[in-house]
Amino acid sequence: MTTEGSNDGRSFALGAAGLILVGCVWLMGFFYAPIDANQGEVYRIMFLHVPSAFTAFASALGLFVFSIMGLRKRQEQSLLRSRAVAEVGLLFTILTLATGSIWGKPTWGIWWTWDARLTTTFMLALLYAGWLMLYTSMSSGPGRIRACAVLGILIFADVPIIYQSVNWWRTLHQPQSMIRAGGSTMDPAILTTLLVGIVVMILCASVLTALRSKNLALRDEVEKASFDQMRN
Amino acid sequence: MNTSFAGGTDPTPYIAAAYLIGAALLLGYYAWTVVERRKLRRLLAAVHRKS
Repeated sequence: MTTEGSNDGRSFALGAAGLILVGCVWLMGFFYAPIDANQGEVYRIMFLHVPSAFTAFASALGLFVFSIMGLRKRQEQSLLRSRAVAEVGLLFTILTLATGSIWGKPTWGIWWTWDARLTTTFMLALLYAGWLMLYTSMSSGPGRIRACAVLGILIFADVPIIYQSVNWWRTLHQPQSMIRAGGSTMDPAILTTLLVGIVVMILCASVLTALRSKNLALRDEVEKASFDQMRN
Repeated sequence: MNTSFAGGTDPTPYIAAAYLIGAALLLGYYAWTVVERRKLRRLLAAVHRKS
């Protein structure tokens, strides 16, 4: 096996391990966490929904960091990482919206409402999609690095707005119950499962981002090698 | 075990749908990166062989 092949094998194994860990946390949500006194069994969707939301926020932080690096160093490599993290961020934002909507139907009686938390999260999905459209619509160069970096920084600004939306506007979404002044109101087993879920989901997203980032770098390498071959 | 909520709604289809969507999205994205990586490695090897 070549060095590249064995490196790929290790990366894929790491990705598979991340996914298995996510599966273990889901099982923890079903068999370790007790039933919720008010919501019954349907609350178990939270063990997927809440970690997905935090991972979408963490991706926005990653995009912010790579955008700052891109502005400072003006390297295409930062842009490739930004693209990978934006894709993964979009994936987890869609998962957050989908699972929230599925939870909302039996709990609130509706699939969707233009509640402050839901609307600002939907905006995050649109912003990630917009970032990817901006990236693909511009030709490579310093202009694209600058434009994508500025949008990447703006996307991160949506995260505190989403987080505080339940405090600033009292609409349908319940207020924070995990991180709040005076301590969490949750059962310790539920809180532990959620915290472990958040850490594992962010780790899994980091591995997926690294895998995609490497693919994007390889694609650049193929394009450059093809171009060189055509010139010679 | 209490398996109903909100006026007797059975939560099972909702829980199943949420976790199926989650598994499909995560596994799908992972599988796509694996397939893409293999395709890119083959392409790169072919380009290097030609040159």
